[in-house]
This record gives sequence, C-alpha cells and structure tokens, in this order.
Amino acid sequence: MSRIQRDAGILVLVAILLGVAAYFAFPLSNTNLGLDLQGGLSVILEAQESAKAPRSDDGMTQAVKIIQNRVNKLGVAEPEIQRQGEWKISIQLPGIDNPDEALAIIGKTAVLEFYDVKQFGTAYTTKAEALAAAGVDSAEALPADKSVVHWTVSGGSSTDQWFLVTTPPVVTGSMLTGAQTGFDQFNNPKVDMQFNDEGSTAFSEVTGKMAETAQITGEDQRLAIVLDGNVESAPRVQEQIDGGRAEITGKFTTEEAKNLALVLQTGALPVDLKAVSQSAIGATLGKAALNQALIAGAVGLLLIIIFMIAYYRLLGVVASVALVIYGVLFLGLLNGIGVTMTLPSIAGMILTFGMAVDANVLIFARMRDEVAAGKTVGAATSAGFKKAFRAVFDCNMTTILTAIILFWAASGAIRGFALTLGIGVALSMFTAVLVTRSMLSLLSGWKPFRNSRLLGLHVPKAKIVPADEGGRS
Amino acid sequence: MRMFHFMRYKWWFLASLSAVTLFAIISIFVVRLDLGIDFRGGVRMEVALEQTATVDEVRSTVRELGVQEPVVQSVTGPSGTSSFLITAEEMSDEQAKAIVAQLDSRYQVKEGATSTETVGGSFSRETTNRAFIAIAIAVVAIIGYLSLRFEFKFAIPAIFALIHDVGLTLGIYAASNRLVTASTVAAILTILGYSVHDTIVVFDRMRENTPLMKKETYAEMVDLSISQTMVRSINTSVALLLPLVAILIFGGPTLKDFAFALTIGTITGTYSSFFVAAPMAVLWKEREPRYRKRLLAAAAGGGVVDDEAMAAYETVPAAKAQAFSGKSAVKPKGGGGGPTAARVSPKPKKGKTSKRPAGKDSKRTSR
Repeated sequence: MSRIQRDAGILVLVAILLGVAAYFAFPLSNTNLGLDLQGGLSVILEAQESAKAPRSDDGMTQAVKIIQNRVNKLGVAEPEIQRQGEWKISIQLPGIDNPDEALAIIGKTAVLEFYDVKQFGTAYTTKAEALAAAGVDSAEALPADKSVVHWTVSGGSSTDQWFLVTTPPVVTGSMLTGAQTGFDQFNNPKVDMQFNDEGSTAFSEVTGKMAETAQITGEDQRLAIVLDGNVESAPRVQEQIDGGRAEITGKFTTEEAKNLALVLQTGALPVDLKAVSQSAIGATLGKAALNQALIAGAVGLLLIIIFMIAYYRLLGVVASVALVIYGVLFLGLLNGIGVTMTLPSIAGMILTFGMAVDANVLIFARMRDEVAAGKTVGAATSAGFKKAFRAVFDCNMTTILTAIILFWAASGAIRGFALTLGIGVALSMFTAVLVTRSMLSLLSGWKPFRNSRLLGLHVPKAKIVPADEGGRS
Repeated sequence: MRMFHFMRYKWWFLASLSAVTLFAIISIFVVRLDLGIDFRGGVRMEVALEQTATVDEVRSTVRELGVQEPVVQSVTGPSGTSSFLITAEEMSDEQAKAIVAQLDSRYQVKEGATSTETVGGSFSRETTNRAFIAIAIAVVAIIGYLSLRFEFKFAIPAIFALIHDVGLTLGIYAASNRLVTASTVAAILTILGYSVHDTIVVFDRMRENTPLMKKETYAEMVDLSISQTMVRSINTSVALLLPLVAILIFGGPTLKDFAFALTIGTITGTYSSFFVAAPMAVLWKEREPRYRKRLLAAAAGGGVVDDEAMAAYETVPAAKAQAFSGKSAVKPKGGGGGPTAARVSPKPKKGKTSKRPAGKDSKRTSR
C-alpha cells in the first residue's frame, strides 16, 4: 500500500469517526451536565462506626438501596447514588429546590421503635447524664442493648428529658408493612402505619396489657413512639388495639408528615450515616458558571488558532483543523461514554486544547530544523514527524501518568478534571500526530504546500547558510 | 542561529533560582498557606446579589451573624450581579441561612444564585492526606518514567526543576494570601505533569545530540541543545498559556483558581527546564570520566593547563560553538565574525571538532 493510500485511508477513517462523534456530540445540549453547572444537591454520607449500628458491607449495600428508594419517592429526575470507597455513599440530586429537606429525608436513619413509657425509668436533664448512667461517654460507645431516648415533654414550658432504656422496644419499624399520611379528627396531619403479622400480634399484646394496667391502677399508660431516639408522640393507651394499625400524631406540618411516611415506607437505614461533605448549588449560579466556562473555552481555542496560524501559517491552518477535529472527537467520546461534564472537567478540556497543539509545535519546529538543514519540504515533513515523536510521546506520557494519579487520589468533581485531561491528552496525540501527518502528506502535492515560506517553515532572518543542496523550492 | 553559552553561568542560575525557591518555601512556612475548607473543613458559600455591595459590607454582614473569621472574596458571578465567595471554618446551617436572608434583605439575592458547600473535618483530613500521597506518587512516577526513557541522572534534575515550579507557585499563593483549594492541588499535579514537558524537550535533544558530539564537553552539547529547543519550548508554553489567560479573564471562581496556579506553573516550568534541570544534569554528567576527560582536553586544547577544569573550559566552547552555531557543517570563509565569536579566545585548537551538527543528518539522529 502506497503512502498516499495509507494517508487517505487514515483520513477516511477519521472522517467516519468524526461523523460518529458529531452524532454524539451535537447538539451540545445532549451533554450530561454536573450539578455545579445545572444546580442541585451533592452529598457524601459516611457510615459512622458505633456499637449499636456496626458498619458492614451488607449494611452499606442495603443503605444504598434504601436511599435510592427514598430518592425515587422524592421524585428527583436522574439522581445518582453510588457507593464510594468502603464507608461512603455519594448522592447527586440535580435540580433540587430545597436541599435541606432532601438531605433530612435521605440521611435519616429512621429507626422507629415503640416503647411502653414505663420502660424509660429515670429521667435525666442532659444527654451526658443519661450516657454516664450507662457508664459510657458517647452515644457511639453505647452497647447494643441500651439506648438513649430524648423526649421534649410539652406542657407549659417544654422541657427536655433524656432516658436510658435498657429493655428492647415492644414493636419496631421493621415490623411495618406500610405508612401513609392522613388527617386526624382535628384535621391535623398524621402518619398511619400498618404492621405485619408479627407486629400486629406484638402490638395488640402490648396495648392489651397496658389497657389492663390502666384499668387496674387508674393511671395513664402511654406508648412512646420513638424515631431515631426522639419521642415523636406518646399517646395514652385505653384499650387493646387489634388489626395491626397505629398512627403517629403530633406537631407535624403536612410536608413533615409526608416525609416521615416516606422514610418509614422505605425502612430504616442499617448504618448510621452522617453527611461529611455537601454542596447545594443554585441553578442560576450553575448556568452562569457554564456560560463562563464555554466563553473561556471558545476564546482559548480561538487564541490558539490565531497563534498557530500567525506563527506557522499553512502548517498552523492544518494544526488548527486537527485541533477542531480533536475537539469534536473528544466531545463525541465523552458524550458517547456518558461522562458527566463538571466545571473541572471543562477546565481539563480547555487545557487539552493547549496541550494538543504542543505536539504540533514540536513537530513543526523539527520540520523547520530540517528545512534549515537544507532538506526539501517533503523530506523535512517526514523527518520532522519521525524525530519529534519521541519527545511528543514522552511529554504526553508524563501528563497521562499524573492524570491517572490524580484520578485515583481525587474525589468528586476533580476526578472529572483528571478524566478529561487524561483522555484528552491521549486522544490529542492521535489527532495532532497522525491526522496532521496524513493531511500534510496528502496536501504535499498541492503547490502552496511545497513553499516553505507559506508553510511557515522558512527560518526567519537570513541566519542560515544554505548547505550543499542549493536548489530547494 | 545565535548560540548563547548558558552553561557558563550555570552556577548563577542554580544559585539564584535555589534562592528563589528557598525563599518561596520559607514564605510558605512563615506566612502559612491559607488552606481552604477542602483541607480544614468548613463552609463555602457563593451568593450573587442584584444590588452592588462591597467586600467589606458583605464581610460585616457575615460577622454580625456571629461567624468567626470569614474570608470574603468578590468573584465573577452571573452577569449583572455582584457575587461573593464567603468561606469560614465554622458556620452552622442556621448561620448560613441567616446570612442569605440578611444579604437578601439588604442587597437582594438573585433567584437561584446561592450555593453552599460544607466539608466535614474528617473528610477534609482525608483530602489532605490524599493530596500529599498523590503528589508523592506523581514525583516517584515521573522519576521512574524519566529514568526509564532517559536516565536517572536526568530524572533527578527534572524533579528539582519541578520543586522550583511547585515551590514558587505555592510561595505566590502564600505571599498573596490566596486560598488553597482542591482545585489548586489538581492544578499542582497538572503542573508536575506539564512543566516537565519542556524539560523533556531539552533532554530529548540532549539525548539526540550526545552521539553526534563526541568531542565537545557536555556543557557545550547542552548549550547547543538549549539553543535549539528554547523557541519551541516557549511556543508550547504560549499555546497552553493562551487558553489559561482566556480562563483567567472569562472564567468563574473555580476555573480561575485552576488557571491561576497553572499559569504560574507553566511559566516557571519553561525557564526552570533551561536554568535548573539542564545545569544540574551538566554538573552531574560532567563527573562521569568520559566527560571529565573532554573537559580536561578542552582545557588543554585551550592552552590552559590547570587543575580547575571548570575555569578552563569556559574559555573554549565558544570557539567550537562557532562550528555548529550556524547549523551548517562548513563555515564559509570570513563568516566567522558572529556575535559568539567575539568572546572566543582565538587560541588554536588541537582537538578535533565534531563536524556533525545536530539535526543535520537524519540517519544518525534517529535512534
């Protein structure tokens, strides 16, 4: 196969790739935008180690599922929930208006427990006292069979009380089959719950016993409904409750009741999750950031093209064409594999424009050397590519290496930067070397491409003494 | 092509740039880098206001709400707004909400134009550790790669050039009180990968010129290599600086942060290749017996018999350089009065000069 055929083949291949890439790349609105560009909530939750809720791999997998469930019920479009590392879960919710509420729902452990208030025992005025009674100094150190319950007893001035509970709850949230919002007789929002068989039996047994005690002693018997260690409500039990239903009434707004029903439906998180990093970005700010990045990118690209053409003339034109081809291929590739573009990944992309022409600068400088040494343009072209390749390759390899290291080390959006930088530099090596060479070799038959002056290959100023071959064009 | 004898001044370059680097590193420790919330934990808020406000006004609003030591910067936000970045190590959710409410009542917050980022303490410690580990691994990887492709004696000077680049970048951060963020670390790692480019270009030419210049001293060979590659190294850096400048002008706060560090790193990376990496490589390579011999031979050839080869060889290379300075093997008669020749002590030389300039013969230059 002749060289012309080979180069033409390469260009045909590039044209096909370009078509495919353009299909994926355009319109630009197809691109997946990260939260920093469209607004939304991004949270990283980390499982906390505690004796009560030991961290486990299964627990994490389950937690991801539960959170997915909750997010789906919230109705967020295109959420992203991923396990990150061993004990972290990363959650990305685009277009959330109320990040605080979303966070409260997603991260809520939602452990629901029913206690007979008699189980509570002594009331302490601070949490620390309750913990001290158990012989520990932090909630994490509490043994699995003990728990601290907080109760804001309303009545006159509200008072906070803490209790150390050493007996297991009579019914738990794991015995629920459903939860919905409803309204009580005063039209206040409430949450209705249904129990499974086990729950129904336990519930009816406990309420039966409590109703009996109430009748005998004449004292109020109260059943405390505890969510995540806080008493939500503590209704009086007057009679045995059969049928496996219960309700939580209290001081909710409709919204709060809905959210509570939602977390109860999806079940309790098996691990205790805490937000270690979160960011909520307003949609307007995101849009502004995107525009700024696009303008910066376009201006940067334009400046590079002007520089290349001013300095290398026709060669600069070829390099610019290769650069644009690179841009389209790159966008197509990113969209094709479904990379989400964030601000840092756009920064990475803009940088690769500059790095892509590096290869061309090195190659063209080599070609100048060769022309200066008396070679014809054609010979200089092939020698220039051949000799510059080693340096181009080594340069790009160091950048790819650091991009890989950065990708490994970074988290979140910076990873996007490393990804676009690494892929971009690798891809740009292909366009800047192979595509430019094929174009130049096919164009070499055309007269302007044999003129070293037009090509920008002449050495400025008459510094060069022509060597033996005098008759070059 | 005019050739400048950089390596005559290698000690000057090394001494002055070491001093600069040392000064930068000292300032990092004395002035202290302003580590952002990515490394210490805290809250970063961006707010775009419809009405104009000054940094001081915003800062006092934030202070009034009980936030300790807030850092307030004016940034480029959505058009038609004055936007601010508020950073504080301690800011509760309530305080954050109160700040937005307060700013809204005073300067009217643009709809959907607030963002809040909270980083927890443990998370930030992890980020810091990972940043250090990543930089260490990158340095080792670059040493490994350069040792593999070139030699160990090139890899270490390249790393010293990188220390200069990164040291100076961070020094400028410290001196100008800029907040170091996760983006800065990403930029530093990119500098590690990128500023070694120019060093590679010079080293590549040295690698190529070595077999072509069998008689010249190592320093002469390096001088030629630098002269041959300097313009293209500057051009590659310009090609990267152009988009960076575009980002510095048009980009938002996050992008500017990237671009600022990278701009410094790209500029320092260019000259440090010539003035740190190359001179160090010369110093090291000239300890090798064969280059030592050439050095002494050059000294002898120059008519100076002296133990101090260093002093001696400095008088010689210019004369030899003349032979290849024009990149033409045969100098035409009478053409020798170039600017470089002026420095030459016109002693006759016994040593044969290599007649093969670099880049002349493609068959020999390619490996």
